[in-house]
Amino acid sequence: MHRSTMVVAAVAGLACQTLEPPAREPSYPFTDFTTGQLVFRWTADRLPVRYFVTPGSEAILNDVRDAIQLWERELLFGEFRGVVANDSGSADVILRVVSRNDVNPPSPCRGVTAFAVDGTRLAQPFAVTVTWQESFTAAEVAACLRRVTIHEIGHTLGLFAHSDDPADIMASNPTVQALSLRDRRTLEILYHTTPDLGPPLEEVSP
Amino acid sequence: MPPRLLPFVAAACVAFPATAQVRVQAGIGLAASSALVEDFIVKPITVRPALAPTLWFALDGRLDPTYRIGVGLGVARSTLRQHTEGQTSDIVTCSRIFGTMACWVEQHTEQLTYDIVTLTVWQPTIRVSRTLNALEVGARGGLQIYQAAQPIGLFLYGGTITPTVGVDAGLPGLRLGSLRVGLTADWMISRFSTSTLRLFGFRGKQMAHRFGLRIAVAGGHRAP
Repeated sequence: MHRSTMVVAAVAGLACQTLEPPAREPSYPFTDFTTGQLVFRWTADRLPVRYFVTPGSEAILNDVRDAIQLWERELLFGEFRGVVANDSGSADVILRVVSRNDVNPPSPCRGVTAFAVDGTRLAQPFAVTVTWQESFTAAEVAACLRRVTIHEIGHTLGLFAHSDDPADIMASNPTVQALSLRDRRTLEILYHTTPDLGPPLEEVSP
Repeated sequence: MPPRLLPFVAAACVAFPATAQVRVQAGIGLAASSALVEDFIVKPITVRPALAPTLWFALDGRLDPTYRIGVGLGVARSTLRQHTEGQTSDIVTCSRIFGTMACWVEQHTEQLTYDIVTLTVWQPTIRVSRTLNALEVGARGGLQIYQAAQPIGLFLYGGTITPTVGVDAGLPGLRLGSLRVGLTADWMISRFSTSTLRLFGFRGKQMAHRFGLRIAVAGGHRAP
């Protein structure tokens, strides 16, 4: 073979090289019955999502920042970005922490993410409430607040359903502090699925 | 300027014999790039830098009566864009044509494009060139340095440096006193990946093509 032919063949071979994406399975469902199996995710025009921590709930402020960053880092193409907002008026998600002193509580803390649907969009900002039990040690509560905050912020991203694998942060009773490959894959699929539900209407200044 | 470019600046200072005619060029232009990442998550996804304004500096000297050798540094800045095919829906359009109502269905695909981050691409290269008929043609080799403004997405764990090679061809253009204004087109190829992509399970490298067009002003002097 002529040297020039070999050079052309080598250049052509190089020019055809591609980056091979990873397989993106398995994942768990992200819709649930409360929305009638509708898909919600933040769209590019509504980023960054603004998270407001109510006064008196600063105990989870760092956990919220870390959780936003953890979820952001799971997406390769900048599909989600979040920030901690200074006022509730412009917030997309409002978080608060309350303490309780129940008898024999099963867990140092638990979280609830509430939302309302109005037709084809969310009616108001997500409301996240994290409750912690005074009967547990500070270390137990801190670890619980961290994983529950990550889990609840996962719901505010649109991961409405729970995973059946306890190794996932979106398991109904999260026991891990980090996101699993299944959490990543599910989020990736959600953020490339056409949503049925839009975010709440933005307040427009007069 | 990134510290890693300093060797190229140093090379520029020592590359030419003191008696050679040194030509200095500065130019502006535009650069277009092929996709850096092609992926498929539910739908096809393409990531590529937007059309980028470029600045270009080069200096070269005679290697022999036929060839010139030199070094150049180009910098291009634009946004890195993700493009996804959006929802496909049927749109029914009706119109009265010659008194008869006619309707037809068009399939409409929503295109979703958004900016991920501002991307700067540095391109330090060494170039050998010669004049062929009326054109100045050259072959270049060097580095392509991708630097994102923020650690995000595929640049979460930093930028990337990749070897690059390419060719260019230029028209000498107009003479304005001691200066010459010319137009140059170039094509560079490199193999792209980032540490974040590898961490996410991507294998291999994407062949990235970069096409540039620039107007350059060249001036030279004969050193004593």
